[in-house]
Amino acid sequence: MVSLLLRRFAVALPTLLLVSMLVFSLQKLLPGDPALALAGEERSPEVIEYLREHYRLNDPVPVQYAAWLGNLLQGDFGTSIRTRLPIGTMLIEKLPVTIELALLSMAVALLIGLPFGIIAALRPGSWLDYGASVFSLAGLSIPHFWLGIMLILLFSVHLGWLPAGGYVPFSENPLANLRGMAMPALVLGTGAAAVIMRHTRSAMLQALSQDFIRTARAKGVERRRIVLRHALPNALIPVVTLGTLQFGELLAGAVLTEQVFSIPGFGKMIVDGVFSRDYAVVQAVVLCTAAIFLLMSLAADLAYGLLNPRLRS
Amino acid sequence: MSAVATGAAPARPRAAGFVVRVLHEPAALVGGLIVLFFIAVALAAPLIAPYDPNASDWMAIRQAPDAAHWFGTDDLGRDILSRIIYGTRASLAAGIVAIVVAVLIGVPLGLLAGYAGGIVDVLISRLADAFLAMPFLVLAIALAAFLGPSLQNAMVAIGLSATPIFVRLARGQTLVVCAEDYIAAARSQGIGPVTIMLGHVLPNILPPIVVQASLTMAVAVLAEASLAFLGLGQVPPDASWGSMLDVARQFLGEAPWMAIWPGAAIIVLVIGFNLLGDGCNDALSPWRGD
Amino acid sequence: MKTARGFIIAVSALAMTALAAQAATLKVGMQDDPDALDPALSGTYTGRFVFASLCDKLVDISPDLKIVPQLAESWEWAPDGRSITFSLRRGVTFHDGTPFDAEAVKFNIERMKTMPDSKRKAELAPVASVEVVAADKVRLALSEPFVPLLANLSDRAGMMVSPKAAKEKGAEFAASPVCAGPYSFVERKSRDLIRAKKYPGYWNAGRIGYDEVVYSIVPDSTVRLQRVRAGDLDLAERVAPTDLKAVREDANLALHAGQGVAVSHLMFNVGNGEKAKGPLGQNETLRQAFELAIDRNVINRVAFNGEFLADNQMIPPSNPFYSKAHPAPARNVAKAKELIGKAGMTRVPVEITYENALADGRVAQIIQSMAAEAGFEVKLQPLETTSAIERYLNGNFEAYIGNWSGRADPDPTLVSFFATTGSQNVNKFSSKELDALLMQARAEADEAKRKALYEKATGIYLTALSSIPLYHPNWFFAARKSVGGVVMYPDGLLRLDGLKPAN
Repeated sequence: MVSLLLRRFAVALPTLLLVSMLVFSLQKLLPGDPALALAGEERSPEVIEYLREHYRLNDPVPVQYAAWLGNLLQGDFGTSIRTRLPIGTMLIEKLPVTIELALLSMAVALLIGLPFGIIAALRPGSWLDYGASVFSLAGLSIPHFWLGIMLILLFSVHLGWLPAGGYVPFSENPLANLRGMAMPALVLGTGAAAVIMRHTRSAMLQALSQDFIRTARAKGVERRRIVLRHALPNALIPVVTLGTLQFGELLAGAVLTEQVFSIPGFGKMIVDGVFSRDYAVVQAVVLCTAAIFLLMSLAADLAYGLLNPRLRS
Repeated sequence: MSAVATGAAPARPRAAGFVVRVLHEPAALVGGLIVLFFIAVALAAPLIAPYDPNASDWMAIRQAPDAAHWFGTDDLGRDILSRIIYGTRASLAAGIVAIVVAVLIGVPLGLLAGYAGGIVDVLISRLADAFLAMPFLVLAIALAAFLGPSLQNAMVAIGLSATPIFVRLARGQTLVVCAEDYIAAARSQGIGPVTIMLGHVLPNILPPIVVQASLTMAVAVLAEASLAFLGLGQVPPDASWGSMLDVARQFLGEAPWMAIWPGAAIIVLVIGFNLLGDGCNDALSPWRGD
Repeated sequence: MKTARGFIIAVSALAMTALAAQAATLKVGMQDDPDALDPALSGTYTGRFVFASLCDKLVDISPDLKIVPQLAESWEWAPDGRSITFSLRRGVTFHDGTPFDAEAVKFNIERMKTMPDSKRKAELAPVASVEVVAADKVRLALSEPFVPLLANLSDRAGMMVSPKAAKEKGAEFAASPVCAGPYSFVERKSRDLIRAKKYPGYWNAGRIGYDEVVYSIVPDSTVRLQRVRAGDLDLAERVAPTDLKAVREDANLALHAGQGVAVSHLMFNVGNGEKAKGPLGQNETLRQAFELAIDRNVINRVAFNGEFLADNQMIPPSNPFYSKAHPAPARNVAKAKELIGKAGMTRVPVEITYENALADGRVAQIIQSMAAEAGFEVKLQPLETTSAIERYLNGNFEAYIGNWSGRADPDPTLVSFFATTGSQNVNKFSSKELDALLMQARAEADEAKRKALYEKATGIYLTALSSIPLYHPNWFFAARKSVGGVVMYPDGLLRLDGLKPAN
């Protein structure tokens, strides 16, 4: 188990390095550079040239990359060329926003996905099962941003119940924070709920068909007890693994949702960064996201190993 | 989950049987019909569209659905139904081209990695991992911005972003197939690696790739809409569902129909691809030995 | 029990302070995140919008575009127009307590002229040297007579930052700017908010009605407005024309509208490289035909609900130098076709490049559709902003939809776009006659004579049509009725002095 983790870790680090190289070279392919993007209306050639010199945009790409990596190893993410703010601080500000969104979405996903997945498995072929599969299909097929727009249309424009977007820190006003996060979390959670529901259902079905359940049933153990004590814990193993992976997906899925609801998190930072060629910002955010993503798959392995007795031995 | 590794599946049924099984899956059938419907709409667009999709009527801006315009008109007085009908072409093309790009690049790389093993495998796999660790949409956004906004470029960007999925899948499947006796037999007969890869391995790993392609098609259609929503897709005045939504967002309060219909079209098409993929997946079970 | 009661009291006290604090906070919604908050570096509208609370300028503009005192109480031009002397307001301090005086002005002007990445160099180019005459008197010597200097000093070039803070913070100044405006900088969360609190030492503190101002970044116009309606925000800048109906119908909201100095125009590449070789780039008559083929009023009505100002000049009608002698020609497709025929053509191809923002896209499609009726085959090339800017600067376009924020004085706009060496003359238009007129106008102190010169200049650029001006955007702020004292200015910036809670 430990060796497996170490092995995975040993793979994760070079992957991260590779990610950073990819992002770096990818960005250099984009037309225009930050000096142009922030030239503003004035667009004076001397200023643009100075910025290119100053931010070493004229250096060969490998040299730029080495310089960036060197700073990163010293814990310095650099400064945003657009706002002149330190990126480390920006990350610390934005990470909690996106993580809160991902956590709330996860809560939505579990609240919908788990119970319906279980019920669907208990009555396969029933209208409940049918409804659950229709829901999960819809959850996978609705574009997040469209669902977001529709919710804004309904709850903000027509009913006026929820704010159409924006973000209030939890520490400042918990109620306003949750009101603002409700729709984005619902939007993002629906897709994840569909995935979790599907897997809960199939894992549950599999668990219910296993020998020890049949034995228990034959012994006349109460159905409730069978489901809650025997089948569910077994079925949850793959679901926990999947949920952990899904969390990483949620962070990535936040890109458009944050855009639609004007939430100042990672997703917005990255999209704005790409459009304004703020290389260092995109670099830092993608790296962080990838790191969380890899951490989550590590955690998924760990959870799987801990929960699955067969693998532990 | 780890279905690939379990079961030895002594004799893998031939690919032809797969098609027959797919036709017997109701989900696949329904999904297939939906997709066929949209293909028909795309092909027959000039025949069925009531108006020229790009013709503006300055006196009929943002009109609610009525007898003349069933789905209403948009911000430039264009018929939304006609634009959705023509927009089908953009969305379908986005899905198909993206998948073709992803499969054509991803499958050979995966095959190579799985068959050759060693340093080649390590290089290709790590690269695919690195791509997969980046958020799909971010990758697509960066590539689309690099290539410049246009429908073709969006398709290519989505295809490239989806490539690592196929690399990984093809590699895994190749590893399974290569462990089987008939490959060893072919090797011992002195058949060259290229012939083995294309003649023996490829046909046997195709079914799961077809399934993945169908599911990824759904993702690609959504991705095209997302890119268009960010202004990186179809070039106006031609319509794509995503770009229609992008514009509609501005008029939510006064012209909600501008947002509702293109969104509904996306959902139905994506459901079609998802059903098709699910159905194929079920039909595929015997290939996986579970 | 006792602790419980104490807790309740503490909580209600907290709630009351929260209420009191809320009552004196002005919450403003802005469309985008500003760039660097340093007047020398700033290049965005939202940056200027925030500076209106942080940084006072030597002079300001009035709502009718007159130059009025701010940090300078008065000024006097030398008879030869080669220098100007400012008498500074006394007793003014920067937010860090540093006194504002002639030395500070000298420091600031020199900082903006010498900082390598300063964007103010062009605006201050004619300033040859700064001389401290007395603690409250400073003289700017000019290399040539330059009347528009005052207008330039009413914007970022005239903003004064604390010399002490600028020296100490160096490159980090933009992260926490120190100026002499009514509010001092508190914090900035990128893409989220900027917070500033009332500066008690402000020279005009009596006119400042809010204790705190928070600028929230809310990119979507609909969302911005929605949040004002819900009471989360007090005021939203740049409400989309399509949302104005909702503002007008809401009893809790007031719509503040004002004419702006900005302009949107269709530039043709007439002399920059390969892309200038197209028929429209080469032939003035075809460009005139293009102008006749489009209807500016339709653009305004369809794209902006008729809320902007359809116009054919770079300078808006509200400007004293606007030329009434050159009214916008009415659409005339027959005449356009005739002109195309005269040029020996029937179908004229052209590609329009633009930033993929929604408004420009809509305008481009309307133009495309109208121009087609006269025989122009318009191809559209939307690009995301940075790619578009690159093409723009390199002159890599046949036609480009430009958006210029405009200036109080006509000089910077006309010189930038039409003088041979103008900084925005990326389409390489050149007319010796126009160059001479523009240089003469910037040295002409007499307003009537200056106006006559611009009259002539307008005639020239409207005939050559290297750029077809399309419309002037108007400014629309939606504010809750509880915000009193909102006055609209042509630069579209929200002045904080005079603003106060209404009841």
